[in-house]
Amino acid sequence: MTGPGTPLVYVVDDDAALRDSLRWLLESAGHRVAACAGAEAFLATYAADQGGCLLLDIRMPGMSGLELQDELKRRGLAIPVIFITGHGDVPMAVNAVKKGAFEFIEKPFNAQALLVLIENALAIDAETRRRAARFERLTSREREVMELIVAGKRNQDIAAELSITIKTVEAHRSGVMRKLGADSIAALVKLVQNMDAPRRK
Amino acid sequence: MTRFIKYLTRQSRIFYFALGVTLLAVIAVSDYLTFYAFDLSVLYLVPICFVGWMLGRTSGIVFSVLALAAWFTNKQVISQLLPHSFLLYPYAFPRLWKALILLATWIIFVIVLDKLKVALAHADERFVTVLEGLQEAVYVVDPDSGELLYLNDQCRNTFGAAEPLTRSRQIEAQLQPPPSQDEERSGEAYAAARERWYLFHTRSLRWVDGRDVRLVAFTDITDRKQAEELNRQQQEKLQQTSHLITVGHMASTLAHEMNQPLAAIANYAAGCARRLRAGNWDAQELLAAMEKASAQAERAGRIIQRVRELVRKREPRLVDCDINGVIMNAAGLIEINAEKNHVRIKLELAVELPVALADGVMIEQVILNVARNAIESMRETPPHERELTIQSRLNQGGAIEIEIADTGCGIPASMAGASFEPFFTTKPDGLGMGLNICRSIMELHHGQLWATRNSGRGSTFHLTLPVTHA
Repeated sequence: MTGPGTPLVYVVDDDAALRDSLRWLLESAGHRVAACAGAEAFLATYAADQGGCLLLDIRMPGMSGLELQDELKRRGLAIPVIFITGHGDVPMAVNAVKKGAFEFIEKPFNAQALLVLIENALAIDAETRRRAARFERLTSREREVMELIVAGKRNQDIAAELSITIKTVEAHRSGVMRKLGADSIAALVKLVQNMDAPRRK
Repeated sequence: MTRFIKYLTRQSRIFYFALGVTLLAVIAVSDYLTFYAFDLSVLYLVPICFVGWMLGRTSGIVFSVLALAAWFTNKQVISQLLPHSFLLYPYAFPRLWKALILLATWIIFVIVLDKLKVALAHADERFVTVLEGLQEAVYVVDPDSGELLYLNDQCRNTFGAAEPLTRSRQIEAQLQPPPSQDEERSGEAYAAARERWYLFHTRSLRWVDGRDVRLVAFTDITDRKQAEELNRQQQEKLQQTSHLITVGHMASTLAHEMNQPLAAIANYAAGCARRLRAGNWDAQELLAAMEKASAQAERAGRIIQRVRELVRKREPRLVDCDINGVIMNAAGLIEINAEKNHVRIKLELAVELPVALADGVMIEQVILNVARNAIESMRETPPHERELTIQSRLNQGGAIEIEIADTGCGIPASMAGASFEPFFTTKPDGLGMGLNICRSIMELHHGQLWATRNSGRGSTFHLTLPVTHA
């Protein structure tokens, strides 16, 4: 169950008891947990290729949860974030969700609700990573061709633009479709759009 | 030119009449001298209209007849002098006919002019009546000369008590800052001599003689200013008092702090339950988690303890206290809140209430807290039924009893006792700490705090305080 490939739930909270109790709860549901006492500690340990989600206290001394969210965005790290909020922080949390956080949950929270949220966040993250991995498999030429297809160009035009023959374009095109598992241009466009869109359900 | 016209208007009716006659004579002579070369009959209209306008209809008609006489005489004399072939009206009948037509035309002119004059006068009168009837002081000034062209009664009464007003600077000198002659401006100005505030508007407009002038209108806003000032002072006072009131603040801090251990306890418990349910557990592990949970419960307990100490820390200064005075203070502080929510406050205070040994500020806070709850409970009550009654009396037990009754949603019977429990609240955004702390304060005073349901709408909160025994 545990291993480098399995997703990791990061818990970032300045309250040691809350951190420890969350680990206890999440491990009961079979999750791998990494607990950090602050935003800085998290940034130091987090590796972009590690799948998972982030359970983040909105109020913390030092870098706050909201600031960490901005920092993640700035660094291009797309891990789904679930904010933990206290009394009276709901408007702040709503704002955070508008800015792309996955969800927020109010303290004290229902354990089952939290576990469901985490499952969903992990599923979203896995899906995003799977999609990203497919795109990784494209060669740079295939990527170029794909972008032109998505931009609505015809094979002749693509061939002219990239100075290659139409036959080569067709070969790249079928390569792209096969690697991304798209059976039509419409499906391809949708895939690419989903990659670009913020990762929310 | 305007000066000349003004000069004329000051002269008597005789002058107009003389002027009219002179004009008429000049025209009659010209008419005679030009013989039949020109028909000058139209020129007679000038003196006729002039006199008709200036002196009225009768004079106008008299002048028409005079003019006709002049014209007719002219024609008559000329007809004697010249052979018939030169004449426009060689026979008596056409001459008479023409005379009749002329007279009728002139008289019609005179009558129409007169009607016009009356209509104009009426229009002017309406305009003046409206302006004089206004609450606002209004004046019109020529911005170049500073001459006052018009001012209404209100303006005269407001600014011209000492001397007749003729110049705008007489008014502007009384105001700080003075309303300038800038175009289209609004602002507030203070008249120090009368201690009144005015809101003024300056508009530029074209005066009847075509000049660009400024119309300035003043509204007395002293009452509004005073109300605003009073409101601001009360708000300030309220803010200061609410700083004193640690109740609300404490409750919110408490909620924040309590969340941590509560959330941790919930997590430990849920984690244990899940493991037990799954049959996948290790006794040592479970034990450790449970111990951590109880440590968190103790942490929560310590937070509560700290709050209690905070309440106690404010060592009550128990002095002989006029409870009616405390109630009136509190009522003054909730007045704004009550007004905003359309709640009437009714005070029914017992005369000759004995003094109580109490900390006035603390009791005031309890009353404020209960009264605020009461006002909030009346949100759903129709506005005309929203009433907050604060009563003081000596009850049968010999204690001072304060009753705070509302006509709000009331407390359900099942919850009458629970409302004093910590975290009990019927408010969507409430914390449920206020009443619990209020009760602690009353107990500190060896008094009590409880609630009853009203027979009609709403509920009543009762506070008792023992009387000081000398």
